[in-house]
Amino acid sequence: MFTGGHLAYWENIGGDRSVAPTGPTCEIEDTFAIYTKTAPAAEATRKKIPLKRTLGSRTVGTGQVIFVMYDLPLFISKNEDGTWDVKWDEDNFKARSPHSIADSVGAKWVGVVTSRCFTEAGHLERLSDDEKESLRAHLVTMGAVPVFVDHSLRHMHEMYCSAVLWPNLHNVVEFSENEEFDVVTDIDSHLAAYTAVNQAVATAVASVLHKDDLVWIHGYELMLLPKLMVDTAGFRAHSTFWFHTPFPTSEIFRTLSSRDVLLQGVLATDMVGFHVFNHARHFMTCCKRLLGLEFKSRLGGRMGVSFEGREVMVTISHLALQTRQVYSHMKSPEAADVAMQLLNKHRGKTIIGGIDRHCERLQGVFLKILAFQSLLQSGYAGKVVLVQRTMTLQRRTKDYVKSSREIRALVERINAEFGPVVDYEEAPSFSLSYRLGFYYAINMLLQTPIREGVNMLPLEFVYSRGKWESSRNHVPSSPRTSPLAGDSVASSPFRWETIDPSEDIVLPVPLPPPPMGGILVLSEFATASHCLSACSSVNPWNIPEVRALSVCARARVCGSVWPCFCGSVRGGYVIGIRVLTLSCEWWAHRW
Amino acid sequence: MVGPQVVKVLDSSLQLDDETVTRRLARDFSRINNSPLLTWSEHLLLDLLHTRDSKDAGDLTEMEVIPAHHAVSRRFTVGDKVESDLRPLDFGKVRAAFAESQRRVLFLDYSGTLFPREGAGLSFKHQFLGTGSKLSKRRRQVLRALAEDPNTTVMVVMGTSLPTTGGIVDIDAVAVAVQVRFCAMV
Repeated sequence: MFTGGHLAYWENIGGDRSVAPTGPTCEIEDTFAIYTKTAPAAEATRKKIPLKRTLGSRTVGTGQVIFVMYDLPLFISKNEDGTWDVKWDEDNFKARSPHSIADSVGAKWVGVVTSRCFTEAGHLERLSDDEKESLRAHLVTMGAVPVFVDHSLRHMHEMYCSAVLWPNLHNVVEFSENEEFDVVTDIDSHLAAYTAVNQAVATAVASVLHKDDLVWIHGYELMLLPKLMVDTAGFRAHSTFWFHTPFPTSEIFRTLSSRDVLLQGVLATDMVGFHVFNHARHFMTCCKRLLGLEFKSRLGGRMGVSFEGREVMVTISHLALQTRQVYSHMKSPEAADVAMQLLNKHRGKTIIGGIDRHCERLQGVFLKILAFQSLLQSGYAGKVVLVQRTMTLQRRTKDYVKSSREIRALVERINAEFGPVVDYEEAPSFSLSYRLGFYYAINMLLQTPIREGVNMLPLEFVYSRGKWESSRNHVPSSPRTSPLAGDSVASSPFRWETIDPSEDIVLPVPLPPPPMGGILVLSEFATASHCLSACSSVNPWNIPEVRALSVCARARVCGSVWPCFCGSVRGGYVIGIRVLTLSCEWWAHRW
Repeated sequence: MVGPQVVKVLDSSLQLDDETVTRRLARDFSRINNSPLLTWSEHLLLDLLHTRDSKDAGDLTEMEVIPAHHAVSRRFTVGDKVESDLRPLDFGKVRAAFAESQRRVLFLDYSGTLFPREGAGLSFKHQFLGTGSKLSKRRRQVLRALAEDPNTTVMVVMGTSLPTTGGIVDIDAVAVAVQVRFCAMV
């Protein structure tokens, strides 16, 4: 507050201020912290394009939204009578779900489905042509257009994705062979397979595409699709391409032999999307350095890249949570059971929880457990437990096998020294209900990825804990003192949403109330750390020195923790040098 | 093998009082709750439509540097035309408004306004050496005179952390807002 032109004192605000925008633009008047949201002037002049009207009539089949992805998010099983049982994977944000955009506009999903299925005897067999047709007919009724790809072609495509593209997108450069890790030696044939699968999907999209349609392409597995789609269809529909993985620095991306082709493929869309600004910045730098393209600012805060006479917009927006779906699972019996089990098992202890989607090196699970060990050594022994759940990898199995082995060995060592303080489990997946029960029981969620794409688990944690808090009608007071107002202001505009009491979350099993709040500690390399301002940020690479360990333990730990040369990670350079001095044999290994 | 920083954060986080933890959670919860996946998807698809169909959001901006009076001004072009709502600063009008007003608050941008905008290389060098550009003697005089005016408040707004040098912080009555960020979830 200022008097006489001089700063007199700071206004005491009990909490941080936040504004939830109601649209792309909004205007707010702030008179001594009394906020009034006014109608955004920009909205009045901005041309209104109601989505439904513009997309046309659903009944005539034009003006629809086509979601394109590599793997259709479906669970498919065949019944004994030959009929198909197909369900959407509700844990996948790309899947069709209730209260989604498909409720208001026509929508189709296009992607690859399995071309093989398990027989009753448990063998994998290829689907016959008749089976494929019957499955196709069934999926069409669900709004899905399947693409069947020959198994060997699919395998080569996935090898190219997992061994070439995925490491590169995560800032990892592979440059020598190692029998423990996936390596592609024949790049050309794998790139040809990658192109062929992209073409197959493009053909499927073109078969259902109309000029007024919107096409939303997901994932690095289909970077050639936008261009192939235009070539196959013969016209250019509105399309957007989204990266759900990081995008590397230009120094790393340019090591790809197919760098130009991949960039040009993506630039055939109207809009390229990223969840984090840094990834978008790397992409635009690659466009500038490798293709000589210029980018400009556009009114409204967007950026565009000039390509072949068109402007390709680059947008940054972190994925949002399916709040309704999460809320509906919070009342499930499974969630309550999981919460009860954990609370009973670790009664009287502070529970630090970790749940990671992939058991792989870049998830930093090993670092997390090491940090926990240091925490125990610093005086927390007997007071805290680490409950770590890790989902196994379906691809990059060698990475999973090695990571799992090392993590389990470390867990065993810690539990031998301190007692059962690390509760570690792996499973192919932990359902949403399980995770929600898990979040209920823990005091802190700790995520320490080294490099990752979009990850909604921290958002699930924040949302579920917030909803539980709201359901208890807990409104944290945020007293503000406004000297001009004189008295302290008891109420704050920045409070919890109090939900309708009829929506109170009644759990099927009576549980003690969850710990207050819910602490979130995220690695600064976690994608969610860019959109969650209240989390505590850590650098999992903060390693000042190598402690004295046995030679064998040191070699094993070094080999397991620092397997990759991460070009853009500062700590990676340091660690790489340290490892060279410690174990040349290890340095020959890949992650 | 893991340094003290992670352990320190864990330790301090576990020591947080319930009210602080709850307040932090409330901040992020509000954002997530107010912007579910359906809203996010709709905004993106509308943006996609606007990239082609709407002229309002379709024009690209360019900034052209032109000399004006004793300072440098910039003119925005939008598409092929000069944006009519954006004009070079009329210093005569600013002086007249200053003289007529009884109380004034001046918000000054840091990089590119008080100090020349640095390229990435120079910025990195300054960060590495812990140095920064120095405010010119003339600008220090002007800032001091403005700040010492009892009816004028001067606030410098910067998006970075406070520079170690530069001379801003040692001018009495100049307020500095550092690490100013705007973050929105659409």
